[in-house]
Amino acid sequence: MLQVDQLTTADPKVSLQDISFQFDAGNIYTILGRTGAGKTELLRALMGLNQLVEGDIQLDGQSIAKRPVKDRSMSLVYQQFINYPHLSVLDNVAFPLRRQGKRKAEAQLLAAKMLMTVGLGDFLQRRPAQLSGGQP
Amino acid sequence: MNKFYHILKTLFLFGWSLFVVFPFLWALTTSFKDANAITSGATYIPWVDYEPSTQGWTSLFTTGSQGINIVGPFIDSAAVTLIASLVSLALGTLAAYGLSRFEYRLGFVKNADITFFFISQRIMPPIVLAIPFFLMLKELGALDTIFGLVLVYVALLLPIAVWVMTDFFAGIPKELDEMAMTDGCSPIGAFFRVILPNSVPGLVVAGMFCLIFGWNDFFFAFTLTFTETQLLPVSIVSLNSSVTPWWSLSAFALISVAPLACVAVIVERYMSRGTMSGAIR
Amino acid sequence: MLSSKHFFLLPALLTLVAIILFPLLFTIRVSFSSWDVFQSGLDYIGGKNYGRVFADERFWQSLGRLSLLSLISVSLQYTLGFALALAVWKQVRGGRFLRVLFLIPMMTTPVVMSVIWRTVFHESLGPANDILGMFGIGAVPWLSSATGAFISVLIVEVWQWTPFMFLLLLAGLVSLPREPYLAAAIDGAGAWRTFWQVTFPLMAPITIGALIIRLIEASKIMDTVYVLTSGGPGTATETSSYYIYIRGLRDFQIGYSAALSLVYLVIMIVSLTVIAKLLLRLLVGKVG
Repeated sequence: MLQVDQLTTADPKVSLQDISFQFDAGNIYTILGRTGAGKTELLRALMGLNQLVEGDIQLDGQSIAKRPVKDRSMSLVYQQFINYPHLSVLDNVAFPLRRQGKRKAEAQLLAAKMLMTVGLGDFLQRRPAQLSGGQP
Repeated sequence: MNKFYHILKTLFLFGWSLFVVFPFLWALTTSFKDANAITSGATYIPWVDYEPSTQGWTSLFTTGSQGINIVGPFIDSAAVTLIASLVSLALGTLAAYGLSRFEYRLGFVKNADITFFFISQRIMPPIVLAIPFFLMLKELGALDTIFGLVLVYVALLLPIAVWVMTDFFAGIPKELDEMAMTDGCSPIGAFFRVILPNSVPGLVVAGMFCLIFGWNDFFFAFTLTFTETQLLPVSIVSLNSSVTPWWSLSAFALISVAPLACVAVIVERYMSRGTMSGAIR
Repeated sequence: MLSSKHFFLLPALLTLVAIILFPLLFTIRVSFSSWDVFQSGLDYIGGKNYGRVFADERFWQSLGRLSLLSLISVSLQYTLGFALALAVWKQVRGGRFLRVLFLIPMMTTPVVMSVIWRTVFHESLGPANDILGMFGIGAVPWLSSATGAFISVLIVEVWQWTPFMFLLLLAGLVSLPREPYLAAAIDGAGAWRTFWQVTFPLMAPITIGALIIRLIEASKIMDTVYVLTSGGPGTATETSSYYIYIRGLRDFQIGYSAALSLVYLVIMIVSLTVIAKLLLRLLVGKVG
């Protein structure tokens, strides 16, 4: 369960003021709004990429508003596809697994399985730049 | 019209190439001359115009009163330049990354002002700093040492590293850092694991500029070292003021400019390469 | 977050402050003292040194000479560098080789090359007069006449630093967008008009950057002068840096040279800022 209380940010372009809501576990939620309304700002604030001026964010009852980005156990899929240009496709997928403390072999095995599931099994050792737009 | 333009262009390129290589060719041919060949006026082609001799080159590797030793100055030059470049590159890259990603504020001083402070050091004429540097190194007991020169050269090269790298990091999308952090990196981890490995082209360019300005500096080496530490530019100038024969001088000059002339090949390669095209698509 | 952001900036900032700021403050203090060969120490004589600077004709002449030298050499470097960059921009036979060749002079040590240039300009034994002689031109007093020495310094500066202009301008040309050229071609603009209406305006930001960087570096010139002419004949090629060097580290008038160097620094900063503003208005104004 994600609970947001009176969230206020100080982003120079779009600042959010006094946002409160609650998302229950197991549901899919959609945030609608016109361009510039602050949808991205909200997501970034939840992730910890934008600083809060006021308010609190609670995940399963624990406040995460003060935690650094990496300790929030949240993830974000960008609109544009972003990848690590210096790593192979396999290592791109294994990267977050490695950061969670998995050993290299274990992370790579898991990543390879996932890539095969989505049909990218033939491209494990390629660099992202060598894939065409449709493939990622 | 088009043909005329083409001929003009070819002539221009040819003329300039000649101008560029001329001093090198002159030094090369002079380095194989002896006293007779020099004093009989300007000559160019060995065996035809004069009888070549290798004493210009051999004298550089002989010690004692007959020789001019180039090995010592070469090692000193290489040591000072390499150490100072590495230190500047390391410090400068970190600072440039910080300035491109975080907000700093100290009273009215903001990021742009800090960046400007770094880069503006290039305006400082060496002569303004020469005397205080002299006294400062004397106080530290670092006059005439490699350490002292490294210290001064870091001040000289750091602005260059910061300047090239801020420019470079500005071209790396911020989303890359952010993704690294959502994938579980700390800010420092994101820099070392993701940004740094993708910064090789920028590092090469910044490194090249550090090497060029370090290796080619004369003034500070000239005012801050005497006998113990001697860099190439200083030794050639002290040769120049004594009655050193042109053949040794020429050979000496060619050896001391050779390492960086090779760098031109690398700079050309990196000059026009798009660097971050793979990050966002 | 707080600690990691300082991890990046502080090491470099503190290093630079320690190595630059203290010496600068010290210079300011010394400029108010009479420190010289006879009296080494920080006494206080007020603004006397500065008064002397304003009455020092030799200093102001060296400044005028420096301005002339920098303006002429940087304009030549820019014009030649731009021409060279344009010439090898589109596919040329051996273009790669030419680019490397054109870059080499800026990689070489100025004083070392000056030592070579001195032999080139030697009036009886050097090749410069020898080659001119082949075309029937009499011996030029390269280093022993005021004009000759000035031109020699100019030639060496142009040889050394045109490559820098070439490098920046070519890098700029390579990254220019295609569309404006298509538009110009559709309008039927010739090469000459395309250059003035498309290339030149698009290159304005790089032009300004390159000119400023070169002016900054040129304003510090002293290595080449020291080796080539030692400021001579007389004071014909003496630049400000070189004059301050003579006063400070040769005559050992520490206090006075500190005042000289600060006046010089302030003049440099002010005039370069003015030039930068003027260039911005002149070149970018045209685009917008």
